[in-house]
Order: sequence, then C-alpha cells, then structure tokens
Amino acid sequence: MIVRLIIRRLFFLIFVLLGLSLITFTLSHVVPSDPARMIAGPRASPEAVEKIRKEYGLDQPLWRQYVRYVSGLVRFDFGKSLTSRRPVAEDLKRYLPATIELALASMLFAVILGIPLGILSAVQRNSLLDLFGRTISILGLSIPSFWLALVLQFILFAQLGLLPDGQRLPIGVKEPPPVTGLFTIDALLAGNLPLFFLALKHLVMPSLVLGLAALAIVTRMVRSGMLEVLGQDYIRTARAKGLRPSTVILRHALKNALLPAVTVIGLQFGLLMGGAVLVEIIFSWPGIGRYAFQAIQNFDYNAVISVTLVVGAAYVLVNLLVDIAYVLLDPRIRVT
Amino acid sequence: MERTTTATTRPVAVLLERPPRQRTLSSTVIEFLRHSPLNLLGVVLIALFLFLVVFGSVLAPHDPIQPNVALKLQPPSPTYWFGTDELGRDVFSRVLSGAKYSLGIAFIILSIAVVVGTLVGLIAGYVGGLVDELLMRLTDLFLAFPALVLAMAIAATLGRNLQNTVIALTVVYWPWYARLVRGQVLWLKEREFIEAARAIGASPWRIVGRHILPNTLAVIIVQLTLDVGYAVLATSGLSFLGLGAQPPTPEWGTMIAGARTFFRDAWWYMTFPGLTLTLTVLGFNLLGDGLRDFLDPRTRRR
Repeated sequence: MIVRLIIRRLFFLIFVLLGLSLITFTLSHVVPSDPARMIAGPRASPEAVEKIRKEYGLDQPLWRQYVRYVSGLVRFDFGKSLTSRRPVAEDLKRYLPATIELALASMLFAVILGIPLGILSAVQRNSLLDLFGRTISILGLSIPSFWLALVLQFILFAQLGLLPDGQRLPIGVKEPPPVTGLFTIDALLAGNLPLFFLALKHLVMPSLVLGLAALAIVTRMVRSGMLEVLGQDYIRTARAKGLRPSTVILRHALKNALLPAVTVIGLQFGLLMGGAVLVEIIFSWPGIGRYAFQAIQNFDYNAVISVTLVVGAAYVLVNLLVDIAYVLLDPRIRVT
Repeated sequence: MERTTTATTRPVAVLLERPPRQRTLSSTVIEFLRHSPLNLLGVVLIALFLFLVVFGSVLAPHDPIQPNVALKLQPPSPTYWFGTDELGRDVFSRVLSGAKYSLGIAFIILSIAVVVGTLVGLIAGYVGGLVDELLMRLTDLFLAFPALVLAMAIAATLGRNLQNTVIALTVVYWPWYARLVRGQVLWLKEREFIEAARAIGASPWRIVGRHILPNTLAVIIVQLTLDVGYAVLATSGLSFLGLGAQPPTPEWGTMIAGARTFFRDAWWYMTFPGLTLTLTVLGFNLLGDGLRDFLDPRTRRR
C-alpha cells in the first residue's frame, strides 16, 4: 500500500522536476542581457566572447542546451556557475548545509513552541494564554520577516549587545570539522561545547525571524484541531470514565489533533525556503538563498536554475514524506 | 409619490406589523462586525489603508520624492511626524504616498490572478476529462515551487521593476485560484439545481455564468482577502531585495531597504514604514480570518 504510494509519487516527481527545469530554463532565456558577454567581462574582445559562448554551449540551439542540461542533471551535474566558475553542484554542497541548519532550527522553534501553545490555547480557551496564542498566530503572519529581522538586529545586537548580527560564526573562528555541515551538530560531535554555544548564539536570531510565520501557523492548526477534537464524544467518554484531564488531553486528544498539523508543518517548508532568501541576506547567512540572490545579481542563470530546481525538488520530496507520515499516523486514510 | 399613497391607505394594523426578519446585506454586515471585535478592527484598518491608496499622495504634507539634504535624518517632530530620511524627505509623506504602490500593486496582482485562475478553474471543472487533467498538471508545476523563490526567479530574469513584479506574482498566484474554483465547480456540478438548469435546456454558458460562478464567489472572496496580506508582503519583500519598485519610489519595502544602512542612527526611518506594512497585512488577515470563521458553519457556533 505505502510502497505503491511511494512509487507513484516518485514517478510523478520525475515529471514535476522536468517541468520545473523547463520553467526555469525558459525563464533564464528571457534574460535581456548576453550571458557570454557577462562572463567575458565588458572589455573582452568579440573573439573572446565567442570562445566563451562555445565553451559554455551557449551557441547551441535552445532545445540542445536544454537536453544537455537535463542529461547533466541526471548525473547531478548542474553545469558551471558563470561567475564563480566552479561547478554549481560544488557551490550547492558548500552552501546547502547552512540553509538546512537554519530551516531545521526555525522548524524546531515553531514546533517546540507552537504545539504546547496551541494545546494550552485550546484547553484554556479564552484565557490570557489563549489570547497570547491567538495574537501570535495572527501577528506572526502579518509582520514582514525582513523588517522584523532589522528590528531585532537593532534591539538585540545594536542596543543590548546580546546576540551577534549575522554570520554563522565570528570571522577568524575555526569551523568545526565537517560531518553534517551543520555547525551546531558538528561542534557537539567534536565535543567542543564553547564552539557549540557560539554557533547556537549565531543561529538564534535568524531562526527566530524565519520561524515566526511557521510558529503562527502551527499554533493555529494545533489550537483549532484540538478544539474540534475536544468537542467529540469519545473525549467526553474518557472524561466520564474519570481519567485525569492530562491523560485525556495528552493520550486521547493530542494524537488526533496533531494530524492536520503534520500536513501543515510539512507545507511550511516552502514558506521557510522563500523566507530564507530574505533572512539569509539580512543576517549574512551563507546559505543557498543568499547564493541564489547573488547569482541573480550576476545574471548567473545556471546557478539560479539549480537553486530553484533543488528547492523545488526538496519541496516536492518533503510533501511526499508528509503524505507518507500522514498515512502512517492515520490508518483510516487510504490514499490510492 | 405612489408609495406614500399606498402606505397611507393601508390599514394601521398592517403598518404596525414588522416585516419578517430578512438577511439583507446590511444586517449580515452588522452581524459580522458584532461577531468579534477583531472583525471590526480588520475592517477599520482596511478602510484606512484603502483610503490612503486613493488619497495618500494628496494628503502627504511634503513632497515624497524631492530631496532636501539640509534636513537629512531628522528625528520625528511636529513638522516631520515620522522624521526624515537620508535625503531629507519626509518619511510620513512617503509612507502615505507609498500605499498606492505597496497595496495598489497587490490589488492589481490579485485581480489578474483571480480572473485567470477562475477562468481556468471553471473550464477545467466544467469541461473535465483531458482538458481538466492537462490544466491541473499545469497548476501542479507552478505549485511545486515555493512562491517567493519562483517570484524572485521570474522578477530577476525579466528585469527589476514593478511591472515585472506584477507578472511574477501573478504567475505565482493564479494556480491557487484555478484549484480552488475547480474544486467548487466539481462539487456544484452534481447538485440538483444545476441538473435542473440543464434539464430545462440552459446553455453551458448560462449554467456556468449564472449558476456556478455566483456560487463560487464566497469562497473566492475569503481566499482573496487572506491573499491580499500575502501579496503585500511578497511585493514589498521583492522590492526590499531590489527586484520590485526602484528608488525613489516611496514603496514601503524599498523604504525599509533604504533604511537598513541607517538603522543604528535613525530608528524612525525603518520603524514607520515597517509598522504601516504590518498593520496593512494585519488588517487583511483579521478580515480574512473573520470571514472564514463567519461563513464556515462548523466554527460559526463559537
């Protein structure tokens, strides 16, 4: 059952990826400027520009360039970045861990705070805590992340000096030996506690900003899911049996209330990736969002295509995982 | 004239009798506003900012574009309520004139997205079959990208200006409406009143235009209200990145980007455009949430 679902979705994934690459490829060829001229520089001779055009395959017909690109993709060959002149795959490998660390930390922040807040908000409905939960869940979606980032930088960095204003580690501090690429985890693995706390300190502000919208949505979903479940008969039965309120809520209600939240948590990934671009730029966070933005500035379309593709692919994969988790959690659902 | 005569000739008893309670538009609106104070707050905020979209530039006390370097980075004062920016322009005037960019652009984007999305959704849902399959796979493709990432890629490749921001975000938003409308059409298509219309020989155009479309409007409006907030955030976010409105346009995201360099010395410069932006989005989120709760019979009883 589940195996069939996975195979079906993986098959679908191939088509989605092809479609994604087609969309971005089309886009990159609407660019008004000449990429060969961009690489060669403004003072290069026409011959040099032609040579680069040949070298990068930019003289080929469009469909050829596309086929060449897609056949490369299968081998994880994203082509060369037009500005760094390194393979894009290498660049991605370098910048992806920073984004993953940021996204995971934001998600963790949203889930760890959002689930209890949603539960308490529902259980103590119309209390002060509920008011707080509801305020978070609507304000979190209304504050522009790029503005919040600047405000927090102003307060926590410039005024109070509590947290650093950007980067993953201070300049000059040696990175932990790479295992996962996530500085906090790697520092722990190396048994270097001071470095762990230093990396964590740098992670706090960006993940808070990025995670706020997700926190709002998780809180809201858990709250409304909980409210709906708490009104049902089997909860009344459990209460009537004389079970302790905490048992009723944690053992009986929570599992059913969390189901819709799981789907929504998965969908937040897309929101996080979009927000990551803004947050990474403001906090000088060396992830793929900032990389993509710099690529855009330089008309480096290979890099832009690759980041967009990788993000799109990751988004589809996460949704697949969410679907599977949903089926595993809820045996009533039979996706065919 | 005629109405007064009939009224006076009516028996008094009839005049005293109150008409049965009808759900008129105004009574529904009042009921909605009474439902929650937050609904009222949302409506007030939206009314304020809609007013600014139209009259913001007229109300601005100073020129929002013309630099006056002698007055640069002045803190808020009775003359310059929100202070001045690095070129000595009045931040308050710029915030007022900015409404028509930040919010106005969002309206344009969503209007196009709704029209395109609704058309595609109606066709896919009503015609069905291969057409439906093809159109829906097309929406799948666009929905497979995180919205802001796709919009950024489009805006970046087309060139940096507001017109391309509109194109980019329209491309991002239309599939959501196509999906939404299609779902509604599929559900409505099997209902008895549509079958009845078909049975008496109504043309497909008439069925779709007179019977299906009006019944999808409520869902579209709720979604639209919620999306205005997101569209405002996306527009200003793109402008903040330098991909949308360009200086000296007083768009709020562009203003915040400009204020970034001065955030240590001039708190007012980034504070006021940001607060305005937040309140605008908040207004639409409150109204959208309120509408959804109000129209959803499951949550209505609260």
